[in-house]
Amino acid sequence: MRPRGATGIVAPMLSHHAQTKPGRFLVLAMISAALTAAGCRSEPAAESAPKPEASPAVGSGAAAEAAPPVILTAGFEPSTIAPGGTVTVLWRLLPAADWHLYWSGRNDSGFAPRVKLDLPPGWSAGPLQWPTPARYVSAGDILDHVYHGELVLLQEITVPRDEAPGRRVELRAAWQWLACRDSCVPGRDSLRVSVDLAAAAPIASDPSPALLAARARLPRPLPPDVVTTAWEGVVLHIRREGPDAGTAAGRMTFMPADDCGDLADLLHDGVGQSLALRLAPRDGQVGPVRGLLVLEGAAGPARSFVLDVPAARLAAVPVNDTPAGG
Amino acid sequence: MKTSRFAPVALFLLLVAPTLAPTPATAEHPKAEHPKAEHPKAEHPATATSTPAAVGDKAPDFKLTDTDGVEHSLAQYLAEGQVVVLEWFNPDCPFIIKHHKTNRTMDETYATLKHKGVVWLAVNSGAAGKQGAGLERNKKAREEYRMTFPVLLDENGAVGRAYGAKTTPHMFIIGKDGKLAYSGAIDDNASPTEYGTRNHIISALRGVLDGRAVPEPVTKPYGCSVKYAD
Repeated sequence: MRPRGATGIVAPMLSHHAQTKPGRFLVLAMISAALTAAGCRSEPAAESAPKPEASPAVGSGAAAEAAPPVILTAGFEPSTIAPGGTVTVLWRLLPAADWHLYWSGRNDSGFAPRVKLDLPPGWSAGPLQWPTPARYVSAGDILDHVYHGELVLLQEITVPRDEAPGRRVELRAAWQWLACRDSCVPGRDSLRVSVDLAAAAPIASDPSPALLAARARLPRPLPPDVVTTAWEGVVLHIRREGPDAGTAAGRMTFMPADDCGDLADLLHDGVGQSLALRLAPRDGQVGPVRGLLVLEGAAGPARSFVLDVPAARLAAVPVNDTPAGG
Repeated sequence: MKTSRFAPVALFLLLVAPTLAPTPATAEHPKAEHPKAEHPKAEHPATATSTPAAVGDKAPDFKLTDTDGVEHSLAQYLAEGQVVVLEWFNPDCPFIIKHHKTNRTMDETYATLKHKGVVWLAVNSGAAGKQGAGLERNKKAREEYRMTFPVLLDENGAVGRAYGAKTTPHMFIIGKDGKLAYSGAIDDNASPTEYGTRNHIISALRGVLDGRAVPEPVTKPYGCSVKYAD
């Protein structure tokens, strides 16, 4: 049996000829979530009243929560693609109020959104670019990194130089995710987007406010004067530099990437005015320490940086202060 | 395709699953951390708070009652010379539904191994009032999923915390020597709806039963968070 709309939902196909303002963010498709397949009405707007549904399989007779937790849409900039060019796709996942989605780095539980792209031969896609998440601790010392509210993931797609212009190309993206609050609901959806290939590169235009906002939430390379890192045995010390160093407002949070070395106790070590990350040694070495370092300060919003400290051999770990690598 | 064929079933169940919570769901919403003073920093590497058992350690003993009122203790099974598999369980978690209803990964894995002296126990550490917790819900789920092994209730979460169980399903294997031989995932695909290509429990149990080293004794568990008491 093939599910009705669980995957391969028909998306509206917008031609770029209809787009009058090149460079503006374009919502290509707004798809009600895959939950329609389960016989449950999808409501694209978060404020829509939930529709109680019968629950013959396991229901206890109470009304079910029917509002789908996540709406998936996509757009890209610039709005035309020429052979040899690159566009930035904005994948937008909007969970209903109170629900959260998961970061791609290290979490105790949950599941980060995952996409399978179906691109024409020769086209290539860069990695998903994830904004900085929030630390989220549940009962039982369960530590996750999540997004409340809309999650915008950026991805660059490059068209091969020898692609013939003047034709329409279809891109498919099959997404799956997990949205949670006190309970979790998985979702999946497929977007089908058609793109008109222009003969010439589009006229350069400013990024849209949506793209600028999404970029502002991405972590940046770590400048050399923001923190210092130093190994002391199995402990990596991270100390702040500058006016916020050692102040209550100058809190740091470390969020490990998937390929970070084993941390002994991230829950306790991961937040503080200075950090002492205890690593679990493996094969005579500790680290690498990779992930995001979020710095709060008295002036302005928190800033997020990419931390990448190489692994150190335990036998010959000197105590030295070196600026953290970017 | 197998996955998409099953997806609507799982999705349907997930949608209605929240109705099973006996108290309003909003009351249990976990709060985002306000890190001001919640987690005092440990001063010395050696003094971490009540560290859960690690692979190679003696497995914490437990005595828990299942949904039929039968008591199970680790000591009892070890005395019988059995190998014990623990599966952290919450009948309304999508990852449990994936392995118990959409597919029957857990029961099928158990079926291939039980004649070799393996005991399989599901443990629910969900606190009263939380999703998937309580005697009635688990009794019903056991029938609904046609489970061939018991579900033990650990409502105060003591056993879950002693083992460091984070997710449902989080899997553990305890060898005949009473030591923890495996901790981690059931398979190698953390998706709530797709399936892995490698069953870690089968690989690890082969090692444990043959007295060989387990090739990958620790993997990263995946799933919903265990719904411990706040």
